[in-house]
Amino acid sequence: MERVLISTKDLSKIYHMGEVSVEALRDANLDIYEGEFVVILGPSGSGKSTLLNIIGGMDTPTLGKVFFRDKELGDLDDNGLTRYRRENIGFIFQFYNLLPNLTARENLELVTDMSSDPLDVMEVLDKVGLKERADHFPSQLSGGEQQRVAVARAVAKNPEMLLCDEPTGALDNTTGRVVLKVLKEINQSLGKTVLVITHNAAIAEMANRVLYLSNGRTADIRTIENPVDPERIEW
Amino acid sequence: MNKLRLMTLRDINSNKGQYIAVILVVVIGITLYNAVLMSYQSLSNSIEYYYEEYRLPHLFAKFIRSSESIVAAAERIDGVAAAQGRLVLDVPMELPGFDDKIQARFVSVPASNDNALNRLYLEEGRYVSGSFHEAALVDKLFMEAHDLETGSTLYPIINGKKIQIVIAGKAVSPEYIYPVPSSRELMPDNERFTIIYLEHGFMQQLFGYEGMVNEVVVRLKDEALTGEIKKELEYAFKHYGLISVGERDDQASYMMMDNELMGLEAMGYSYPMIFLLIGSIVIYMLLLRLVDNQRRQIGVLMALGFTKRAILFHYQGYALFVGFAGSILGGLLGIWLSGSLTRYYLVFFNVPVLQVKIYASVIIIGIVLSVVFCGIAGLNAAKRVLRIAPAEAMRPMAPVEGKKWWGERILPFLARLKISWRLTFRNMWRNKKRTLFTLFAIAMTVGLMISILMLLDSVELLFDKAFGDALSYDYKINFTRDVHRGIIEDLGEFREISSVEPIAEYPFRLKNGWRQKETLVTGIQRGSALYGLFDLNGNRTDVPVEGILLTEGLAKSLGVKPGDTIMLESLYKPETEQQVVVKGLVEQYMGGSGFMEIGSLIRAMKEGSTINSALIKIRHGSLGFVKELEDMAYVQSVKEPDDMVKQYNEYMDIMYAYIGVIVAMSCIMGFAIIYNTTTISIMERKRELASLRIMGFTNNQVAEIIFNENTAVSILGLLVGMPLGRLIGAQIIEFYPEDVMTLPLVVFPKTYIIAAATVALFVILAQLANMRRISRMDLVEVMKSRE
Repeated sequence: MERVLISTKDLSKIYHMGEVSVEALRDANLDIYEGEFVVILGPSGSGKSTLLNIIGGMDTPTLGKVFFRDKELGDLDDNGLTRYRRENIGFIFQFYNLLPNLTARENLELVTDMSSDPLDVMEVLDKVGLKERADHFPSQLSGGEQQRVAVARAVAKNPEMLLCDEPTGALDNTTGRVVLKVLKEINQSLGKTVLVITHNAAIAEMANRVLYLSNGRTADIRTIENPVDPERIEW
Repeated sequence: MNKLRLMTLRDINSNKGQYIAVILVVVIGITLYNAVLMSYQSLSNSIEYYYEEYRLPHLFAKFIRSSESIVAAAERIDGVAAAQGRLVLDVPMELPGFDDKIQARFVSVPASNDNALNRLYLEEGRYVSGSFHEAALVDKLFMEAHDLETGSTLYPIINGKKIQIVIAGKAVSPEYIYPVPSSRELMPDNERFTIIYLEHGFMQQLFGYEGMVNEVVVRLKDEALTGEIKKELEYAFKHYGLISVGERDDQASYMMMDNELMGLEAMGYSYPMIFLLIGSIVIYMLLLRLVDNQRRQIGVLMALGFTKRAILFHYQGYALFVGFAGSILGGLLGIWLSGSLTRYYLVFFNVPVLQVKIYASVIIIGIVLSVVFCGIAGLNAAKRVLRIAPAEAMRPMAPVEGKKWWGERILPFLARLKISWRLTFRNMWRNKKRTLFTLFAIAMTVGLMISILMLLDSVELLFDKAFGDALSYDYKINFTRDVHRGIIEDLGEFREISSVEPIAEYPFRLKNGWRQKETLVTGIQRGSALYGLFDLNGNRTDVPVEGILLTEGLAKSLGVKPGDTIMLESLYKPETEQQVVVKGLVEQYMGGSGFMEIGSLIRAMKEGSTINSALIKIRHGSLGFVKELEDMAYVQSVKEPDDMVKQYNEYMDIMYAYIGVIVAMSCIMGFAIIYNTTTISIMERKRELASLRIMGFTNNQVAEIIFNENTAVSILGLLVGMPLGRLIGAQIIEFYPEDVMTLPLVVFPKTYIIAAATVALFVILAQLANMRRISRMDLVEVMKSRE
């Protein structure tokens, strides 16, 4: 847990919306270590999504730097960022964003076809508990199941890190817990770094570290010695 | 401004590219419609006016030679408004500085032009004087082709003597709007054929026809009486050396103009309809997408209290906007184009009173057509608004139901394709309607292109057949009059001639019961090496010893098949009917349409062994000899088969112009269609495509998915469009009058290849034009929104 995977230095992001400027991030500093389960907590508008998007190479900071290991993302052009996302990052969104025209298995294959070192599709589906439903189309799956397919899809290309934006936001308590369990399992058995952003404080208890974000600044960082089992999280 | 209207305009403004593309398709259709129909109206009205004002006769009675007293007899027939006797005689003519021999048609005209039939329009100079000085009025196009002026001298050879005649002026007659000697000639040759008008009495003297005429032209009180009075004339002049009584439709220029106008009118309606139909399909697809995309907005409008009808009209407004904008632009462009198109006709046609007008009725009908087409498309797309319940509209659309399509179940290999291709086919299946519409639109584009390009193929094949396989002679000699067959032996004596064959071409009336047809019957010798005939399977065939071969078209209009007997009546010798057996059908693309062994043809004429043409092949390096031949006393003209090709190509210019315009417009349309479907695909699947980008697909990989869909639809469209084009082309060729020429139905592979390459090109262009939409997609923004 010693090696730094992601490191941000004085990140700032200013959005110009017409005549108004919104400062979504102000000098945000953060290190994420390999194999960590990190939760970024903050109310809506605190800059969590902006931070996640910048780390994921979907957005660029106005000021400051982001390093992935020793590579600075600011040095990458559009193609470089695409390659970075393809090789290193798995995204999971609140709304699952599966391709409706492809079965669960095919949604995974879509990604593994273009990865250099993918995991076995059926094994990953087994890991998220959906081996039996591999040939179902998204419309034939429940929300929780769809989100687990989305997790599997993110994992299948064997990235270094999963970035999850409110992964349980659209799910009820029970199905949400299943998804969190799957994330934890992937973190532990596959050693993937997982970064979850949420406004749901209960989820933070399952992390190794929790980062509090407020008004675009990193307000506090807390290390949790004994993370709670996701089964026992209530909200 | 009404806020809904404002929304419409702003929406259109923010999707300019798409609306411009649809408007373009409509503009094309309406431009074509206006240009062609206005040209049609201008030409047709001008010609109608010209025929009436300049008194084109209704009937043309031809005689071998007859006393002038028959004119009065004709005038006495009830229903005849005026009759005029005249001489029409063709003689060879020389022109200093011009090597080829000219066929000059001398036509006698009354001393006064005022009440004449076929009144002349004097372009310059003065009316005929009746003496050698200022004797002749000459056809305008001929004078222009040779840079002749009033006062120039002509040297016709009349009764074997070269005579000098001074030109009094430049004139045109309603009888020769399209100046060809007979309907056997397809194209005017203004260098080698002309019409020269002389004062009647003067011409009689000059040609030795004192007191005689060889034509009586008749104008009727009522055109409807044509058939009836034609019969009366035939009966009355039976014993006066009558050859035939022709109607306007039998007259070369009238017939050609009629065909030209009919073709123009048909074109004015058919092609624009196709463009409008496709334009409305594109609008339909565009609006379907718009309504789906703006579901939530529709919900908000409903919640605010707008009626469904108001919202329906709001969306209908987009289509009407396209319809109006397209038809007004198209109207303006059409007016401009029709001016040049109409003037272009003057290169070929003698229409002195041509009035190029703007026809408001055409423009208004164009606008109505466009608005109706677009409006119906818009209404059909917008009516899905009616199915939306306000509360439901506020919620996102139910997720698309993914499923495998039947193709994957039936053809298992489809299920094993690369994922991106599987995705392509499923998307096509998911959007069946759009796939079908796009397919149809591309098929029509391809069909349009092929249908018009194949005309070129047909003409090429026609020439290949007619001048490559069928006619292997070097020159055709037309004699000034019937000559004894022995002339062939004389010609054979010339060292320069390697082979020579006689040809007899005479007009006959072919009858089968009440059906009859006047046509040229060609007599050729058995086993001819210079004139080839082909049966319907394309195999070489020969004239039978007895009996006649007919072209398919002629056999059809006579209602006969091989083995049937028909009556053959020489137009030169009425009442010399004889029976002949139809021995077979042949392909013939130009000229006459009956073929007999020359001996039996001559026997049917019941005249000595005379012929009127000969085909020759000459030895190498004997070109100077052709000049010698031309100068021989009994030779009227020496023509190369190539001359016809050259003439035809000149005439084809106007056809090329049309072909060019339609091909260019098809390309623009094809681009507009693909561009729009691509845009719609991208906008509809923004979220899908954005997820792919986030997962690490490059812009090009994302584009490939859209591109695959275009490729697949385009290939299908091409496959449907190819036979469709052939079908449309067959209709056009069918429409082409058979009397003039029979175009073979053929599409060369190169035409298909050109069509395929063009489709490929506009697919690629449309794709490139849309790349920006993919590369500029704001991933964060797209993923944030729920819908």
